[in-house]
Amino acid sequence: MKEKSGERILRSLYTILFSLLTLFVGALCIIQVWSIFKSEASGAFTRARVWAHFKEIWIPIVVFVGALMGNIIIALAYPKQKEKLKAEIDPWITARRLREKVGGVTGAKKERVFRGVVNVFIAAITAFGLALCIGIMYVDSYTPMLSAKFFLKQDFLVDRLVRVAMCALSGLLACVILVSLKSLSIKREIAIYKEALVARAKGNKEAWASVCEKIALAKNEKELAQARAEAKALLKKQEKDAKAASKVKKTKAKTNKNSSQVWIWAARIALFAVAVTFIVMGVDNGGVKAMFMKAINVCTQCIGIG
Amino acid sequence: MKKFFAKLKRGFKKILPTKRRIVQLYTALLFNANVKGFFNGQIYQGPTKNLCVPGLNCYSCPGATGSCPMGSLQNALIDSKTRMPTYIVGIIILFGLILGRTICGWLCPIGLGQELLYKIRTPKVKKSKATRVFSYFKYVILIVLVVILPLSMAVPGFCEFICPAGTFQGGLGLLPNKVREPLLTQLGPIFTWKFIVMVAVIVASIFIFRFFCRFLCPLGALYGFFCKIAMIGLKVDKNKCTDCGLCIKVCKMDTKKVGDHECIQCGECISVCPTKAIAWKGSKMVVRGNDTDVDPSNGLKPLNGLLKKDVEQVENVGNADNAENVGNVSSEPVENKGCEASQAGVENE
Repeated sequence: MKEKSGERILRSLYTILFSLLTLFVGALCIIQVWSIFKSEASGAFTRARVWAHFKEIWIPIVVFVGALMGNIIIALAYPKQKEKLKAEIDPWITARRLREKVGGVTGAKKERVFRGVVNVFIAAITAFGLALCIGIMYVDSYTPMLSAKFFLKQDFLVDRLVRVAMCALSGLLACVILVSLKSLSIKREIAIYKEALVARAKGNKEAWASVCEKIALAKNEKELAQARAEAKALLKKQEKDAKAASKVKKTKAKTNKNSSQVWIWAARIALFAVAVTFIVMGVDNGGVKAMFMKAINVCTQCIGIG
Repeated sequence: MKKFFAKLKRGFKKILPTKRRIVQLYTALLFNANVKGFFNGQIYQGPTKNLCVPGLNCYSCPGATGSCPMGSLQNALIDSKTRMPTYIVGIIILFGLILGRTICGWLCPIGLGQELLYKIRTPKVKKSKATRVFSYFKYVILIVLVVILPLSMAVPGFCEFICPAGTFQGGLGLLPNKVREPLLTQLGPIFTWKFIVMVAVIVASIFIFRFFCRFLCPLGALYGFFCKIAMIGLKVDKNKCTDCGLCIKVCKMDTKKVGDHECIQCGECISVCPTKAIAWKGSKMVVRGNDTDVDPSNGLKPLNGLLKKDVEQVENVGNADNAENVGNVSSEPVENKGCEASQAGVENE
């Protein structure tokens, strides 16, 4: 059944309004909890007070619940149209395909080395940034950042948090620049492969053209036969190359698959042994009991008491 | 009105739960089977709490029948000065080894909740390069809040400052009960912060697919390390795969390829793959692609489009190189007519 465009517009409008209502109700809930907390810093949350605060926003909540029901009914009545996708090839996949096709090209290898170096830099920046952030947090004798006082500690907020934020932001910026360099590099690699393909195609074309020319300009039967023999040889050579390439590809894939399977199974067996040993050790050293004791009592950290 | 009800009926038929959804619902119920606890405000204290559940499920939830792996890990790390945290590490390794991130896609109650929230009809934020970058944030949480803080300051950082499962299941599950009035009065800034995080996660999950799993969940990050060696999961037959990219296009997680560390092994891509290259390891089970917004019957169309594009963009150049096929050469604009004739001659011979 074809859907009317008016209906679609109304539905879209409804979903947009519903989204805004969701955000509004979410913000209201947060504001109410915040105002309860702000009203009295300690012992603020009593049943009566919480109830009183949430009573203030009962109308938006009821509207939201009603709108949600409406949303569900609309979703049932108008199921989503199945989307027709257009696949997009990732540049990395294109590069891999071309690499398999063309083989090693000097310029391309340089690009791959370059990306490896960039990866090392990204890892180094991340590690250094993390170390720096942790250093900023822990050096000196500040109040432990994660105690309840953390949120009220002015000097901490102004000083350390800002420094950590600056550090994290600069690290992130550096990583973004490096990642964009990587995507530029992959584009360059693809261009190099394409160039190599063009050159190869050109070479083949030229070879064929010369053979064709010989055939066309043959003065006698002998020359014609010679030219044809050359063409045949060229054809055979190309077929042979193609076969050899596909054979190498298949063997390589098979070897890779077999060796990776062996490694995976070795890792699985080793990890299984480690896991079982750890569990047995845990049962032995009282880890199970400790976990059980924690699990059967109310976890104040989980609830948010701290 | 009649038409509308007919549509509604059809809609109900269309939302019949998939195999995955049924498994998710069962596990969510199983993990929180102590229904009595919600009414009397008491936590389950049976022997099953000696075991961890594979997904994120707060053990302070009155319904929880097992322990939470994240909470247990952090507490074990806090106690590591006196006792090696071998038991919980062993269990996590075992879960990761057998199931990997299949746990996220099939067994996690928090994942189920987020997926149901995402079903609410609103404009959605699709995956992009930015979300892919942000998806690495969960590793920062894993390192800083789950490992460093418990080890250095004896604080279960993730449970205390982030975990929305704790606030929702433990906090909102226990605190409304009159028996827990004393706990309610102890709430302060940390609860306020955690409540804000929880509301933000719930609201964000309506607009962004599995917001918490993709950007914040350290358990998912941990299981992600086992993606290559997990016994259960998806595999791609490389001989059949045409690299069309449909699987990644249809996937709502920040995956780069099927079965990578971001893949939750939901199996939605199986029904979309035009060459049927994706399958379960050691099984032929197909998951109905109900949750995907792609018509599987259209699977071949994009592939055709892709091949066309591919041929135009990349292999067009290479086709000439594929002069291995004489036919291709004759289709090239070679001006010498004699050449074509001679090639035909060669072929005939």
